Amino acid sequence: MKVLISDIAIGLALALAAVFLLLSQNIPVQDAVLSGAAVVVLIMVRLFFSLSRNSKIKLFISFIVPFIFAFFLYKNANYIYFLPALAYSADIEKKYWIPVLAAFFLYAVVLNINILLVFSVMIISLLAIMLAGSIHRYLELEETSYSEIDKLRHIIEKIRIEQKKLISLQDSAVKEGRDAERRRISSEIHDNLGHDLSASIIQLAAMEYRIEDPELKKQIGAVRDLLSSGMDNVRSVIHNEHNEALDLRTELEKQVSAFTKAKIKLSFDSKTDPSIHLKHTIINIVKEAFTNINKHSNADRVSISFRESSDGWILLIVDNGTQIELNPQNPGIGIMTMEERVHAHGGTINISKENGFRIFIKFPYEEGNL
Amino acid sequence: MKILIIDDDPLVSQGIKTILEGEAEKRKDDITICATGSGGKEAIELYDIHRPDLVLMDIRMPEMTGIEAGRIIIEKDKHAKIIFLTTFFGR
Repeated sequence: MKVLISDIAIGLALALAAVFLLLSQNIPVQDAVLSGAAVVVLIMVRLFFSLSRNSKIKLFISFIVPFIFAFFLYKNANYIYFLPALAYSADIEKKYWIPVLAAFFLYAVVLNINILLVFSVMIISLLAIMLAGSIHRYLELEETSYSEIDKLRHIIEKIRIEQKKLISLQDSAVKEGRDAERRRISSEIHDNLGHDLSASIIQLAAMEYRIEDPELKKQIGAVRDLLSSGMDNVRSVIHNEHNEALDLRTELEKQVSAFTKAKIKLSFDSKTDPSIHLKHTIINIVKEAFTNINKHSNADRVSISFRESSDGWILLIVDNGTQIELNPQNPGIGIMTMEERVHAHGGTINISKENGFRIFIKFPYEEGNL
Repeated sequence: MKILIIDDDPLVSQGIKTILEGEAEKRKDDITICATGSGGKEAIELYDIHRPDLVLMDIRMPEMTGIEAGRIIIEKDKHAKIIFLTTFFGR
């Protein structure tokens, strides 16, 4: 666009200069203005076609302009003043300059135009052509540098996004690794220490039946109680570890892959971790929904979406089942326990059966998340 | 009442045997431990031999789990009564 504007401005300026020169040669005002207008139209036509991608049309215009000019020159030699304006906008390739100018020179000699005038006009034309070249190159350079800057900006933006992704990926990998380690340690304790402890407790209990000495019996009973309370501690620690390492997304994915009756689409988008109780509630609700589909529905497509909203979480379970019995007076044990569970967390539940079964549940943030 | 005890750890099965026998003697209950075994396959064999009134069986055992063995026993005798034992909370 910039190129076009600068071309029009310079072409107009050169044409105007030619009109003034014509007037200084005592050419009638009407003729000078008309010829100037004709040249401006030629310049416009050429510039208009320079926008076209069709190179044949461009070449045709580049050739036709000199011929029209030659015709004008034949009518009145004074129109030679328009040469710089036309040369500027001609856009003739570098390798044709010399032949075109030589042909023009010979033509001027044939027409018997003042040779000094021809030379001066040709020098100005050459300068105009060179000026056109430099302006075009400059503007092109400016444009490419702008687009390069844009590209760089784009790349920087991309890198930033990738970096963010990488960081969150790293975070989740670290969390996953930590959880896996926790689970490993828990099951190690469960399998080894747990078994040894309970075997010892049973052994001690058995010994109490065989031993007659009441004092010794009492002592063994005390050891057994100690081991039992140790066992309780280990059990509660493992239970906590197990709960803390519970990843809601992984757990839901497990449920989904275990359900084979229908095709399930699971989408999960939550950055805040619900409490362990809420996690269990959500998992149980999804399980309950699967049981319902298994028992009462002919659905073959189910979509489960769990996402975080501005003030909590939304769990949406939708299926395409058409044969479902839902009686609002008697919603069934499954739905009732679902409602109780949701209300226990201060949530709301909405069930509809238009176009399939639809369960919409909203849980508010818990105290720890606020 | 005949009871069969199955646990991969003999200390545990012997221990349970002692406790049950001791408790039965104290209460003058008619409880006998007909056999103890250490694996799922053995449980099935011992069940066939002794036809106990009750089986006490560990769930987690190498080779064949208690659940698998229990399923086979019930297939053979649908009146079989089995109590599964586990040392910890189930997972």
